[in-house]
Amino acid sequence: MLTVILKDQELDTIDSRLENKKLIPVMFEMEQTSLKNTHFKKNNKGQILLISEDKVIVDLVKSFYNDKVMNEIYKMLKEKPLTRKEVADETGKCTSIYRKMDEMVTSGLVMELNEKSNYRGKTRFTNTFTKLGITFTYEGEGVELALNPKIIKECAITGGITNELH
Amino acid sequence: MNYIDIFLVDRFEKQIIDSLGIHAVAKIKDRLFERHGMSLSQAIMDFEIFESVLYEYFGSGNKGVIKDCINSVCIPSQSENTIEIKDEELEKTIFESMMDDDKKSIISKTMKSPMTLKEMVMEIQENSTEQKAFEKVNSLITNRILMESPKDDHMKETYYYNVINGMTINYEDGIKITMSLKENLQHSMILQQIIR
Repeated sequence: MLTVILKDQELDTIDSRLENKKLIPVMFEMEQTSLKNTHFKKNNKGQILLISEDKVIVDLVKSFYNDKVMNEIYKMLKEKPLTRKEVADETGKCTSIYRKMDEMVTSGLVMELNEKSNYRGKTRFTNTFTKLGITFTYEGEGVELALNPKIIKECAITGGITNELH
Repeated sequence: MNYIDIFLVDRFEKQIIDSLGIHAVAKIKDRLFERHGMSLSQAIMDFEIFESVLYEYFGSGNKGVIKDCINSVCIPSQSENTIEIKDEELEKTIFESMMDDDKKSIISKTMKSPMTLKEMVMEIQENSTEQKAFEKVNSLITNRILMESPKDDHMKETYYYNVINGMTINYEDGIKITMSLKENLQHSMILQQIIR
């Protein structure tokens, strides 16, 4: 389990941040108050992984795998954060991209960057996760999602984490 | 006979054809039949024979051809007893199977213990018709994700199982499938060629 140092000292684990719906704010718009077997872990590459067996998160990742438009958006945002319009312009599809991006923001796969100075006055978006993995065994299935360092930084700013992750 | 080889042989054969061309492979097939009375896939399962015929055409360069073809199918990791799937068609087949709840359920159950055709069809029949359930199971058998389990004398029915112990599908720069296998990679005649 990871421990985070907080400015306010009120919360002492990333998991409690999860419960407090702050670490990945958009994900919790789904009103998931208790996620089954969900925790954070730092791997040997220094990535922070969200590991979960919760069906909602597993199904979310599966829906991403099965959606070509979501794949396309993910690839574009992997390169650099983009505004909604930039994504739409690059794909040449307007309405469907806007709708799909909204869907991804709502589900938590994509996040708004909380930039101090807006990028040309528009909100830019980035992927919440840099790696989306599903693990299957005979006991069941789970996900391993590597948090995008940009997002961690964002959350640290907005959530009051001083920035140390052990 | 090794089950990892049964799982990989079709894709390896396809990579050989892609790499050497239809005409060269036709000559190899003829030679295999003349000398050993074997088809290409049979010879691959008995790797020394395949290797010796390949040697006639490529000399010591046969090792390089074999290595390239195996690496185009999968990359083994002996320490973890896993293979990373490289063959696009195999990757697609596995991916589609794991994204289908019925097929995934059969794969998961047969990871633990073998099942008969009837048991598998009954398992998923609740969600679809018998015909659909049969088609799904049959597709897993045709694609060699499920294979016949060794038969004991007292067994009346054929049991099917798979070589998979677990699997990770990752989306980072595209899809990457890593499979952990039940059997030791060293037992595979095909994979032995690159891990020995």
